[in-house]
Amino acid sequence: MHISLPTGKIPKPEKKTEIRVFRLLLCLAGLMLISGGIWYLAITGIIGNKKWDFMQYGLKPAILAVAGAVLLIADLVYFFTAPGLKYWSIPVARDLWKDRFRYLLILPGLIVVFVFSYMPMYGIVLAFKNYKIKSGILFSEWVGMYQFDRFFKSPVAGQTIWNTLFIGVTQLAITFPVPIILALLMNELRSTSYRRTIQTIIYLPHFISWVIMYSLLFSLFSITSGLVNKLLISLGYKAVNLLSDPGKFYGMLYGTSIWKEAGWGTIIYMAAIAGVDQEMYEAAYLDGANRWQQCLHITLPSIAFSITTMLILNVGSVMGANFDQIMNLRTAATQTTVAQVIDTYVYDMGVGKGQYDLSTAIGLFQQIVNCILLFLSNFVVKRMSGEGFF
Amino acid sequence: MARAKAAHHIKASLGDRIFNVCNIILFILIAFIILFPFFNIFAISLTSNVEYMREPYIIWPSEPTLEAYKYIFSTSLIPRSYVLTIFITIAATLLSTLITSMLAYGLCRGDLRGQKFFMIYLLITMFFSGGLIPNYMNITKTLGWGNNLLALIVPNSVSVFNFIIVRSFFRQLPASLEESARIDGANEATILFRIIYPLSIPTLATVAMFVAVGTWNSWFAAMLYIRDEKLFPLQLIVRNFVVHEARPADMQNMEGLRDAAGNRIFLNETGLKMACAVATVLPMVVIYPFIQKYFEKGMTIGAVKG
Repeated sequence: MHISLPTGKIPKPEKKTEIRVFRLLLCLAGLMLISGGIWYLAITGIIGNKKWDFMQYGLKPAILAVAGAVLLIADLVYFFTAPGLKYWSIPVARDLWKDRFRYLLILPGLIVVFVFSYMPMYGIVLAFKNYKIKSGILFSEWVGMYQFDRFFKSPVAGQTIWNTLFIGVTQLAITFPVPIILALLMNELRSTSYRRTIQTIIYLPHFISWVIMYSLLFSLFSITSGLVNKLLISLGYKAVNLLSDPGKFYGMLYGTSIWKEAGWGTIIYMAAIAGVDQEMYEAAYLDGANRWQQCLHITLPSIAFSITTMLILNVGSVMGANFDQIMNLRTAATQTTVAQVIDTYVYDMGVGKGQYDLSTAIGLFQQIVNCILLFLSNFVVKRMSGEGFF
Repeated sequence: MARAKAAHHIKASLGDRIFNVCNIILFILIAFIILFPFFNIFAISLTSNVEYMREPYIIWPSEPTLEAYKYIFSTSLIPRSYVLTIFITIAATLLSTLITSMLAYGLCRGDLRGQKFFMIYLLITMFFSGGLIPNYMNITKTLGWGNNLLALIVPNSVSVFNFIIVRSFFRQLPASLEESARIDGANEATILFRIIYPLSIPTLATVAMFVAVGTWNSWFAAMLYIRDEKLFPLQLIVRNFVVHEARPADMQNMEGLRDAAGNRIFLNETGLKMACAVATVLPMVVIYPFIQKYFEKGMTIGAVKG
């Protein structure tokens, strides 16, 4: 198959009416398609499943949407065939045909993203509905902000939000500096082979799952069979109930986070340190700077950008970064009190108790807060260093 | 590193030397803290029930025994789950690497019509998603993949983070490479599979490793979508066993275990749990040193170019 397209310059037409008509129709068609869809969605939620009569309620929005789609296709055909539009359409057609292989390549990826990331977004309407299994997402009735109201007025809401913020912020504050300090110290190791060995060891915990992490904790700290407790008892001390004592839960979170991820976190900083100009150290040495001063005035400023980058990434996900961790470390004694964060509450309510509407609403609230945090932290960094993340 | 060399020819002061020794000792301590738990679960898994009950504590069993391993591999659950998990991991890795790299190649030059739209289309998913329940409804209700292994393989096959890594590598390749091949008469598919892919093996390996480790370690998707214990991946079995203290259905019956002399063998519950954990973590620990450098590279590219 071969399509020959005229090459070379096409004179720019004087009259621009056609392109204006094309653009207008394009906007109109898009508007019709989208508003038809929204209309349909809205009306199903208002009427409900039982009284649903497609001919009476659904026909008009469906016609609008279909008309929009037809208009869209017709408009595209018009764009590529109308002689008055050749100036605009021929380069587009030429590029589309030239890159057809690339479009084919990206198609599977775009479809996967659509099916698994965009299609679920339709389910967000559940946050504003009263979900009934019989009616499904579409026909369940609209209830406005009722689900949000229900959550914020429930006694668990305050504690859950507080736990989420508290754990997110304290965990970030406590664990964030550790990889930086480790990297700076590791950089001071004189033997390269020793440093490589240490790096290999401290990256290792990143590769195990939180399930295995719990198994490791269990083998050491189980009240009856953990090695540490057995040692304590045989030495005449009392056993520590690390795994299910609510008072020790946060300590366990911080500890396991550092144990598992701090070593891995050094990679970025080690790479940044490796990129520092060596002449700066020599110059500093000649000026009489000792190792501590070199570290403070050369290494740290050199990796400052990496630090801010990592900080934004972490601040952006401060409200939901440790779902996996908490899911595996919480126990019957902690899961309704100190370990209850928004993510686990969404899981308990949604999957555990089948309250799809409520947990979707809570999840949506969390995502919005997360997005705001991310954009805020990016804004701050942009102001500070002139270089944002996106 | 060059830094170390620069400082070497100058005599280190006393304070310097004390610092160096302390630093080395600190890292030995850190290494011990990281490695000891692994050693400990291995030791427990090798301990016989008699010794476990008799001794107040055990650092390393006096008579290591493989009975716990023999038992878990004699049930149908663990071997089947092993094969299944390996299958899921390989399938997810191949699929994800292929789709992500195709996407990255298609969008790497930045001259595609609609390039900006496609990039935003992909990046939005990094910041916003449907959330737990909408995802769950999408996969179980809309797609009907409940209790289906596809739900563990396909949904995460495009990771925007991996896409950025591969794309930034492809962008570094000289455009003249493709042009000269095109002049020689190679078609687009030949260019991609014969020229671009062979040149990108280290980067593709990095991404494949990320996906493989993520898939091997995942249990949440299986908990959501898989109801049949026969289709459980290893991590979920270990989770139910260790975290929820629920012994798998296949391990309820521990009768009939005999040693060579015909005496009944008693197994320790903790030993069994740890044997399952060791069996699950072992492939990762064994492969890890060989793939370490790929990870380091991938992390660095991902963070710098993100």
